[in-house]
Amino acid sequence: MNLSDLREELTAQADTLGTAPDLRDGVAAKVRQAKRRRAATAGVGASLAVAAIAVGVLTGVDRPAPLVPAGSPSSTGPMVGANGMPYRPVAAAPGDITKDGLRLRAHSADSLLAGGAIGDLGQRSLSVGWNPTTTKISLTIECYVPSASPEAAMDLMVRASIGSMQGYFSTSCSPAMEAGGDLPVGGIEPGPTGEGSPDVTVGGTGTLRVDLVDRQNRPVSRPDVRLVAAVYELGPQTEIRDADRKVAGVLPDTLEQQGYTYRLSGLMAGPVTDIARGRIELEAPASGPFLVTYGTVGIDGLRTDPAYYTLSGITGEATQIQEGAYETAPQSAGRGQWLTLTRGMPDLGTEGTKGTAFIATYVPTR
Amino acid sequence: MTGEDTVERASFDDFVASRSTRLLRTAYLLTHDRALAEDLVQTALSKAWFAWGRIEGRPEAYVRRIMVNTYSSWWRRRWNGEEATADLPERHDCHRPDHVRVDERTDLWRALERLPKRQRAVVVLRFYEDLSEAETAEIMQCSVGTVKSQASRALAKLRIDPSLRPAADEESVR
Repeated sequence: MNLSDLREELTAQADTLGTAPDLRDGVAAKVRQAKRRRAATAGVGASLAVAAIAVGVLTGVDRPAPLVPAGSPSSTGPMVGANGMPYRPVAAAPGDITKDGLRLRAHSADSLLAGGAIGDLGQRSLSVGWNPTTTKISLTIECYVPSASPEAAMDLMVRASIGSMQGYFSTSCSPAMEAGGDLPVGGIEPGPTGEGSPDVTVGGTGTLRVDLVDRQNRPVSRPDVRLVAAVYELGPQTEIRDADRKVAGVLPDTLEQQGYTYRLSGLMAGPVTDIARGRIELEAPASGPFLVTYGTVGIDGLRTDPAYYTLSGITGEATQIQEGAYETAPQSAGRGQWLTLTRGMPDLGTEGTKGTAFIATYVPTR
Repeated sequence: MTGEDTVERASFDDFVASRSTRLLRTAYLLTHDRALAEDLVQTALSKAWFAWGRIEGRPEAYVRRIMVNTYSSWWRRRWNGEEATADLPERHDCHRPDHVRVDERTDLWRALERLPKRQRAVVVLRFYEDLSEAETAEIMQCSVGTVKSQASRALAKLRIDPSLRPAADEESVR
């Protein structure tokens, strides 16, 4: 390599961008956010003072963002859900599978529907084939029995099998259908963390079969049962590595929330043995809605008195999560604050405990 | 609002309109991500907006300085009370054909991605912006000696990066 190569590479990469879009709205939004922070610090008088100086294109700085109540899809403005996050209905897309008011979505964020089926009423088994392009998949397996009591529904199971692995796992049935008819996008990810399913061969043929059984694994029939089976191929993921550089967990690079796609924007992770003596911190986005995923992965064994981890820096009260689990919390507005994960009570020590604690943030894509 | 205010704001709008493309390209070379680059430029411009009437000299240099320093502080971590610079999260490729774009990156682009932030910033300012060592030092708010050492280390890393082997043209770069 020489300097000419370097200069040419930098220029070529920069040229791929073309002309910049109009960034003025984005700048105005950030100025507005900064002014709110300053006003909140300095009081009402300061707020009125700064509100008077915006002119020109940045007059939009002080114009409140248009909000309409959730549930008004006819409005042209952005809608806000009950949780304060942007909301929009997900329109029908090519490749969606629909039947009797139910929908298997063709995609959600970077997860793509590879194969799926919604059974007829009373159909007690389903088989779905697909052509795998990755071993990393997530399965949607649903069973609805609307006329059954919750207790009776729990006694009905769906046994799922991939390829030649019969009776791979089971899930119980439910009397309640999904609100709105949109079925979950995946949920069961077979195989070791970060490696995908060992029973799927890229370039081969995949088969997912589901059967309605009872708790003794015997085939059963019900006239009102509705089975659903689908395979989603997962998009890019980011690995969370432990102190030995082994993959302790993976996070999707994109998530969908209330019709909007969010991309991974920040990740901080460290051994739980370190967090016992300190904390993990990650800076939240300076503005706008975001998602924060936090918790622990790769915990070596479950204890009878598990430790809890506390996330602070979010809107509302700090939230706790048990070791070995993680969750995602929507946040309606970042302000560049520190999100902090600390180990809470009971502090039983971490001797012999393996695991990795992490905080990750996701911001909306365009 | 005074007439002077209006002129200042109008000049800011003109600046945004005329310099966004240039700033965005620099930001992209720093972040290697278009969305992050746009966010970085917007963040830098919003900070400049508050100081617009007080900027002495060339506003572009001022905005670029904010941009580089904001970029350097992003992904900052505080770990047990210590502060250090964290790299972007590791990503691994997917088997899916629509992600082959990752593979289309050149080896040199990948090698640049692996540089520490300050070194990457020096490379961009010196060899894309063609700034002098003194100008680079002013933007990065460090000494000329630091710029020299960071550039030297960056170039050395690029030359020895495994993805660039075999390097038949091991000519001197300085």
